Amino acid sequence: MTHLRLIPLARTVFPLLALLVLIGLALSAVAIGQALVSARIFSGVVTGSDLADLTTWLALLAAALCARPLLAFLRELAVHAVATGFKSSLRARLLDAQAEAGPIALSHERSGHRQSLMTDAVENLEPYFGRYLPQLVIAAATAVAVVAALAAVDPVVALSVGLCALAVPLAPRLWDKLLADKGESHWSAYADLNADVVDSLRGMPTLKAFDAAARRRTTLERTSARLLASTLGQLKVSLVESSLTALFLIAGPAIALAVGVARVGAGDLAAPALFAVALLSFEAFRPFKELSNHWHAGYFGVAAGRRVLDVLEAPAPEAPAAPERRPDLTAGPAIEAVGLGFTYPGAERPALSDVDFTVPVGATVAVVGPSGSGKSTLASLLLRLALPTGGELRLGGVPTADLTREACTDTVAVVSQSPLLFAGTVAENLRLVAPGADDGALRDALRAAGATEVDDPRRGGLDTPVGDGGALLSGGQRQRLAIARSLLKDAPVLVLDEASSALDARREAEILDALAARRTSEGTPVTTVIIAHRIASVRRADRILVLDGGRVAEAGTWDELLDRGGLFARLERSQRTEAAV
Amino acid sequence: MPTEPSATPASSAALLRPVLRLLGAIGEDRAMFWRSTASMGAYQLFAAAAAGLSAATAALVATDPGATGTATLLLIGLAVAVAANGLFTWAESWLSHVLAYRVLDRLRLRLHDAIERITPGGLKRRRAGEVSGAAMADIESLEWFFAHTVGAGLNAAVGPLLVVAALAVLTGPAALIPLAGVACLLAVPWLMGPLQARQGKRVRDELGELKAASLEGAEGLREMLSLGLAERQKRRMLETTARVQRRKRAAALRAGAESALADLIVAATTLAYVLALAAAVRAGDLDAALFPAAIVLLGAAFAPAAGIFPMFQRLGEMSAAAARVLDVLDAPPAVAETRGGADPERRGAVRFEAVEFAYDPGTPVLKGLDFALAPGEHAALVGASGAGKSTIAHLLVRFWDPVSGRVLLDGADLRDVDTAALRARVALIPQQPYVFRGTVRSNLEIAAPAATEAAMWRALESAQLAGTVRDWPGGLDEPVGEGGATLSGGQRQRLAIAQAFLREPDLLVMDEAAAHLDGLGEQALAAAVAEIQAGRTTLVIAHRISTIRHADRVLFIEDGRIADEGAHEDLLERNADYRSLLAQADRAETAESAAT
Ligand SMILES: Nc1ncnc2c1ncn2[C@@H]1O[C@H](COP(=O)(O)OP(=O)(O)OP(=O)(O)O)[C@@H](O)[C@H]1O
Ligand SMILES: Nc1ncnc2c1ncn2[C@@H]1O[C@H](COP(=O)(O)OP(=O)(O)OP(=O)(O)O)[C@@H](O)[C@H]1O
Ligand SMILES: [Mg+2]
Ligand SMILES: [Mg+2]
Repeated sequence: MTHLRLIPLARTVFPLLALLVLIGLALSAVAIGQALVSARIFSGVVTGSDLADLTTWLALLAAALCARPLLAFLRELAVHAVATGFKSSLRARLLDAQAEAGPIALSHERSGHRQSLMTDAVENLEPYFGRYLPQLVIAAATAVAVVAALAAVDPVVALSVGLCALAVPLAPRLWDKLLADKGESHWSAYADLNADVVDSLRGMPTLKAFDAAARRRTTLERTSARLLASTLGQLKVSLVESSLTALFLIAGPAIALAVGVARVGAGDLAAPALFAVALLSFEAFRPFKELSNHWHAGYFGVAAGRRVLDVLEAPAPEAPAAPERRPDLTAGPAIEAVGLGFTYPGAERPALSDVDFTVPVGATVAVVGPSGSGKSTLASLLLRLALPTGGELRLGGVPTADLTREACTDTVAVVSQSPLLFAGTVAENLRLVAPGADDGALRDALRAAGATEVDDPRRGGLDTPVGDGGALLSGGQRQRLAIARSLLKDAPVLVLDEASSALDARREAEILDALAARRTSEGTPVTTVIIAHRIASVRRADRILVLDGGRVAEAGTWDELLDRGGLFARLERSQRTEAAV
Repeated sequence: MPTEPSATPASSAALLRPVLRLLGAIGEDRAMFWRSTASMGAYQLFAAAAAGLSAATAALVATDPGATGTATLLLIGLAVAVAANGLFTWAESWLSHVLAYRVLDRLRLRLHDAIERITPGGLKRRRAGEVSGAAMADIESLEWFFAHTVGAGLNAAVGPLLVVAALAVLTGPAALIPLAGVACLLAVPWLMGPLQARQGKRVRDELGELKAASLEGAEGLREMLSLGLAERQKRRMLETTARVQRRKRAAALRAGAESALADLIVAATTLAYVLALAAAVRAGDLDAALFPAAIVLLGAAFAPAAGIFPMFQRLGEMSAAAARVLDVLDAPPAVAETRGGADPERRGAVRFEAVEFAYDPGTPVLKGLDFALAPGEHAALVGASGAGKSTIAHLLVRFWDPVSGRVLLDGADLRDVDTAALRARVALIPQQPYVFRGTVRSNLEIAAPAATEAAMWRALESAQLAGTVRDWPGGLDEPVGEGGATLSGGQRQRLAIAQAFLREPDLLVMDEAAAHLDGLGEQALAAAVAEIQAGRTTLVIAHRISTIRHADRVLFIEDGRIADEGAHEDLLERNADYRSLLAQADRAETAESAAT
């Protein structure tokens, strides 16, 4: 039973699972008791005994009828406690794994896959852990108990029931492997379709503009058809199993009865005992029926569970060598690169190689260079989204490899090239990084970022919704809101990666002026790194680093670089001469 | 940030409405539906027969141990009934599931069509994660309804009536007791309907929230990690998980209470019936041999109702899931696309006539915009951030229609032009292009499915991306990550430019297309555009002077209107606002370079 591999995933809730089994056993016991009592009452009524003689039995029946719902309530509570427990722990572990891997390692993966794994895969495991697994134990135990009870009535009947009961759970195991494979392909089709839908949602404006939506639909139809086919393929197998179980459920008691009749015929069994045989043998098979129902509900989760296992068992990236160290940004260089190199996983050529530079605390350094020269990569390395594959990058004197990701992201605030806002309001987006900030502080940050207009009282002021991914704002408004957010983060190092590309020159100058000579609330002077294509934006930088093809082509002050007449001078001229024609 | 509360059904009838509306989706599989329902009836009948036969056998053997011949016959009948029951059980399961999953498949495609219809306007206020959740998890959960509820519902209505009729024949008026029992049983979930509806909606809404939060976390991983939000995201997911579980538990406890009530009803009915029969036997109105058979048939009367019971108990959730699906299916499109319609002469003349536009009433973006682009003209659209430039671009590809006024292409109102033809003639390079996961080639094919390799390379060449692509080991087949995750910002943008070039449009709209290019790349791009679009119309939206300068004419928009238009130099000279918007830094440069 390959799915038993999943059991360790629920290790946080083992005690609850045990409780669940106990409750289930109690329920079975009550059900059997009720069956015996009913049998007694029936034979009493049939044989015409007086109702008064049956009072005890009737009272017992009433007791059983009351106990069952109580136990069932308890079971629901326990099932939900189990489900809450393992869902929380699985989701937490999946989120940790995702955060540890980081966006760069995952850049070839699909968000839709990770979404369905985090939600549906975990949800689908609920019937498996909460119902199927405990029922497995309950069904086995009940079958044993009932066979034992039957043995007291008649050993031959007990033997035949026992054999049937053994066949019910064992026969389907023959095609477990087949079912597992089918489950695998079902889950992958489901996850693919989910990812395709997410892709469609994201890219639909592009598809519509290119009139490609119909072609997209064809792709989706194919994925959906694959899901349909794999679902039905898996069903075919699992339905045979549940039909077999259903058959046994009816055939089992029938066989027991037939054997019983034969025994009565042979005079080995008293006729009235047949009532007990019929009712008891039914109880032996009832838990298996439930087991099969739960399996039907749970097998969708099993395949997904295997994917969860894969993700959790993937090797974790390197842990920081000295997690307790914090960057020191009071003196010395804020950022220092020594022979820094970086190659993206799977890439052939390095995105950065042999990069050396130093940024003193409080300085403003610009990084310029052609598109694709590695500027944004540098920002990612500062955030420890990946570790250098060569040389070292030091933040406040400590190599990023020694620091935790939190130490790095606490120190460095990056406004990324295509910043993402989260669905919600303006204020919610800002408070993400400064949960305690009052409206005044939010407005100050908006002012410094030149974004006061998004606080438009006609649209709801700070409570204006920004839409999915900020879609209700203009490109420049999104950028400025992201700048405001990074200011609220109050980090000693600020990296602006093309953060003002969608702004007009006036607004950009205002913002950069507002940023100059800032200090954090603790008084540390803010070190600023400006990545820009608009050369005029970096005029005020203390130092300019020019990247080309992942290497430092040149570095110096504005005037030095212009005098050198190298790449920077050419870049500058391309924009200036144009402006001065 | 949960979804806006939509009205919760207040009665059991209202609870059924959303699911019943989706019943239409069974459509072409109606025959299969009837076959599956008939199979269900058949297997329940055979189950009842098997139970009846075994009871009869037991009674026969108990009363007359000598009648082995009849007993054997009865046992053979029993075997046949058991086999037939197995067969029909299987047939019913198979048919009902095939039916259900086919319906789900169709619903998914319909939902995808709805996504297309409401893009982009309708999606901005919804969270993508919730919409994908509706397409996948919500629709998937309806399997339960289509496979297990519809047919079972019919059976539950018909089956007990048949059995009760049989009981009436066997036992006379006492058969009214089981009838009342079955009615009581079915009344339980019906009376609990409103509560169930509330609970179901809460469960589905919280699951939707979970979907949205997890997609946000997956897509926004970089942003969340950079902002140090990993712990917060974890907390949020765990809180949502806990809420989902609480809601589910409340629903499960309600279901438990209902089931307990049901058990009670079944037990009470059975007992009452047994007593009534016992009395009848004693009074001599009933043959004692019929007694066990009647009891077994009683079980058969309850079986379909007891079978449908758990289905009814989940109607609340089904209904809420169906409502979430319908919410997307019913969303109105932002524009009514035109099929057929005028096909004006292709010149590329654009005209905005008193165009007013607002996303939300009360906050107008364009307030009577008037301008015209002559065929072949290269114009630049300049204005502060948030002035409405991208809005104008979107009006040109009919992502929106003006609130009043008209947008004309070659003299025809865009609303009268075939929308597909319009989009073939107008190419938009969006401010934030989306790159699909796939390869460079697959992305170019989205724009032009029939493009030859040579054409692709030409387009890449003009977009200044050819050198980069050539350097990649995969070339055109180099894989690119979702949203262009493996590309640099400028590479993503240049890929979008190449896509637009492949379309060879009459009107090219470039929304900040060069924003992530360096000066040299920008110049080369401008030269390429001049060459490719020679004789065709181009509208460039830009903030950088170096881009604006290439335009024949600049349209300066301010406060939702054209504030000024003319050559860049002239505007610099005469318009102080324009100067202030652009010139600050660049005027100085201009003066400086004039000095050198
Ligand atoms: N996740 C990734 N996997 C593989 N290669 C990548 C990945 N991200 C970026 N690259 C490649 O690394 C190189 C450097 O990219 P980077 O984003 O640092 O450039 P950039 O200087 O910021 O360019 P731009 O100005 O266009 O934003 C590019 O060639 C890019 O294709
Ligand atoms: N879907 C929307 N719903 C509501 N308001 C919107 C929507 N899209 C844009 N807006 C608002 O309309 C105004 C114009 O937006 P638009 O995107 O056209 O500006 P833009 O001129 O392109 O600005 P930028 O230079 O920053 O890209 C802005 O105030 C923006 O907040
Ligand atoms: Mg970049
Ligand atoms: Mg814009």
